[in-house]
Amino acid sequence: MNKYVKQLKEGILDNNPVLVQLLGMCPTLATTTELKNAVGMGLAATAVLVCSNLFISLLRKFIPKQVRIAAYIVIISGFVTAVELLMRAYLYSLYQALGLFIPLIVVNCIILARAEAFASKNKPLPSMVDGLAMGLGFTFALCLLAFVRELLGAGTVFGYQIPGYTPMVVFILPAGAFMTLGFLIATVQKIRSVTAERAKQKQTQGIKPASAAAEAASGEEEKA
Amino acid sequence: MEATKNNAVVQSALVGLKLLLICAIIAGVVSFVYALTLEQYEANILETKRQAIGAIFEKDSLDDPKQAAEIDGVVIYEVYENGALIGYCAEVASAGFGGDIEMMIGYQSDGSILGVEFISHSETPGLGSKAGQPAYLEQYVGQSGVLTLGTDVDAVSGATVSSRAVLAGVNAATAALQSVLSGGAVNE
Amino acid sequence: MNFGQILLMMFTALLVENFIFSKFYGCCPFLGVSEKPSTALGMGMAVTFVITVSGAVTWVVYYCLLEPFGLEYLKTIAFILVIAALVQFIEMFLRKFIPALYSALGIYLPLITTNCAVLSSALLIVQNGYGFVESVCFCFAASLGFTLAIVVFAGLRTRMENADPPAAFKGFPLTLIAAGLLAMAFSCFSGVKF
Repeated sequence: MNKYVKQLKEGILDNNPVLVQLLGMCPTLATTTELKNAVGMGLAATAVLVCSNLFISLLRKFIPKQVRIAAYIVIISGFVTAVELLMRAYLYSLYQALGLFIPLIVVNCIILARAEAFASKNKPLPSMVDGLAMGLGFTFALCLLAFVRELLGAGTVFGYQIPGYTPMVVFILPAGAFMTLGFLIATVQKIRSVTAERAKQKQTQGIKPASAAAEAASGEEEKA
Repeated sequence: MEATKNNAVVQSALVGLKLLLICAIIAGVVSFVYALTLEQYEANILETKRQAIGAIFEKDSLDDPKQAAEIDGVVIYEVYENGALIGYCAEVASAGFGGDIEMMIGYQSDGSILGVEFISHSETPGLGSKAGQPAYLEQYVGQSGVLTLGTDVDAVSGATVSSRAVLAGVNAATAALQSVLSGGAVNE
Repeated sequence: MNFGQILLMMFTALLVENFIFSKFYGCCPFLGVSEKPSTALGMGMAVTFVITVSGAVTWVVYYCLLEPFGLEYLKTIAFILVIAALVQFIEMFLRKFIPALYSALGIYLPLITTNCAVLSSALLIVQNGYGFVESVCFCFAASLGFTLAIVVFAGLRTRMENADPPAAFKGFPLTLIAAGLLAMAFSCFSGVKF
């Protein structure tokens, strides 16, 4: 059980798909004008991630290696369409607000990356937990960004007006999206480098796991 | 040699077959969900329209709106309360800043505007979306005929495109309603 | 649509509703493959090619295969399959018949399947109800807008290499903030309507 808790923490904080792995930028930037949309987008992607990870893990011995990417894409797009159909039936206003970005979950790199890197090599239950962890990490990052943008750009939180505040509209506009995310990731990098430094001071001998992780992260940046 | 070649053909056929099977299963699942949710989706569309009409006429005990005509993409509804005609509604889509703005415009039986409500839009929140708020839309109440921006209604500052889109939609709806009323195309 | 309207639509797709700066379609390659102007141009050309061809093919698939049978709800699945197959096919075709172009674009092609600009332009065609010629023109203009954005941004980033930002801002955050500034510049086109 403990293993799954660790997996969840990994996905939400240490290895957050948006803030650390820097994946899935399009929906992150586009759907975070309002907190409500961010929650909706995050949970829709989480649902798809959990289902597709489970399904791909179950079929991992059946799917032929040569056409695995095509098979993953078909499975993922199937679940995305199912989620889209369910949303327009039961969450109609959210469906209207997210618009084209629901079908675009198909090409969200987080989902394909988890299918290839995790679900295709692991048993169904850990794969589901992995999907949940990554999905919640995605949702968390989206909410953080949307909270800042909605608060500064529209002067509201979840649609409730903050009295006596003149909103700075630029945070709602595309330019604000890029910049807010830039500052958010800079903050995360700062926190990570500080914790890595502390860990280094604590254990002066042997392998330093935190700093090794930081090094891995900076390597990923260059790749991205 | 022949055997290995045959083997390769069988192998790739098997790969194709497996992929086809996955496609078929997924298509089946999606079709099932589609059939399951279609009714609710159509009900949602109707419900949003009914709510918009109810909000314009400030009544929640209206009869089901009756579609009377469709001219140039504008759908005209007759609005009844307890079987008596109390006005008209026009549903129209107008190109805004972020995409089409779909709106419902309510008219009294004499053709003057009773109210405008957004059904769906994708304008920038906090900016273009202000054109969907009462402060702007209330300016239309009581107006009739062809309206112009600046004289009949004032645009929302910072949201000129959205304001203009609403105005264009209202004018198109009014024109469509006029032609229906004068042409007597409304069948009882 | 007549010729003038198509031109205006193309202008809108190119600048006013730029894929990157107003719609956020295709941000991953925009942020990822924009270190050097030359690679950015290669990526942009590959994307332009794929989007324009896939626009034409998905239009045919939607209006000739899906719509007649009432299968519109399968469009996402059908489109992504068509795009994946098309990218694969274009890669093979270029390698065989136009090796010069293949060596220029080859390495970018596999990345394009998961570029959301391709899928979204196919979906937008259906959403906006464009005809065949309009669809192809729209796709061409929109993907040219993508190319413009990524090349301009790559030029900006080569200048940034000499900058010495605070440690926390190094790498991705600085890239995002520069993109924000560029988006602000592009927002002067926003709201231009004819």
